[in-house]
Amino acid sequence: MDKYELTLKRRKTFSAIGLFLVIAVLIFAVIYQLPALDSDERAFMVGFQTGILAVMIVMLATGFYQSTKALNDEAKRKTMYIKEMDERQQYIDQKAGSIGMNVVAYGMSLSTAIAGSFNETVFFSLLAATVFIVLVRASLMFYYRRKY
Amino acid sequence: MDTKIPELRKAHRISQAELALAVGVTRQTITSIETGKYIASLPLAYKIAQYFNKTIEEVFDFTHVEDF
Repeated sequence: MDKYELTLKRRKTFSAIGLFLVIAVLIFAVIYQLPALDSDERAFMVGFQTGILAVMIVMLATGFYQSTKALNDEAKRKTMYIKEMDERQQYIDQKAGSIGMNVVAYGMSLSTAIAGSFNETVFFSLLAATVFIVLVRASLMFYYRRKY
Repeated sequence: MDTKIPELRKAHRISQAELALAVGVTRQTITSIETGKYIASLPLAYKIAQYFNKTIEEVFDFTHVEDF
């Protein structure tokens, strides 16, 4: 439990730093990009970026709040610990992660092949993303085969 | 895998939530183990057995485990 308390303290610090950075980026992005909104596509892209940053702010703020609450309340800390360390939940996460990664890798490969017939830029973007996903998966497989 | 956890819980008059808290998992995990949807890890099986002062074999039924 002492180890978990340290983890929570670290999580709280990183959430605070992350929150500060993301808010700074959001303010900068809005101020810098607002005058350049000359088309619907550009407006959509900026809207998307703002949305992603807003979600990150909410997640980091939630993380900060939960860590602070758990650090001040032992019962809450124990419940949170059990929820995070629950073996069935970890098994579900592992299953979903590994199957999800396979589905994404196959989906991206298929999309890359199809995009090759239509648009060169999209094809190379998808190809780079597919190679990245496959490399991440291969590296993780290599790492865990050595570990276990 | 069949287990005797529901019977043991009844005998000890404890709820799934109380057992879950005692062995450090969520109530949903105990439910899944009792219904056979999830097989407990060896450390968790040991903790559950210890909680009821039983051996693992007395709590979990291994007769359906296939021989390889």
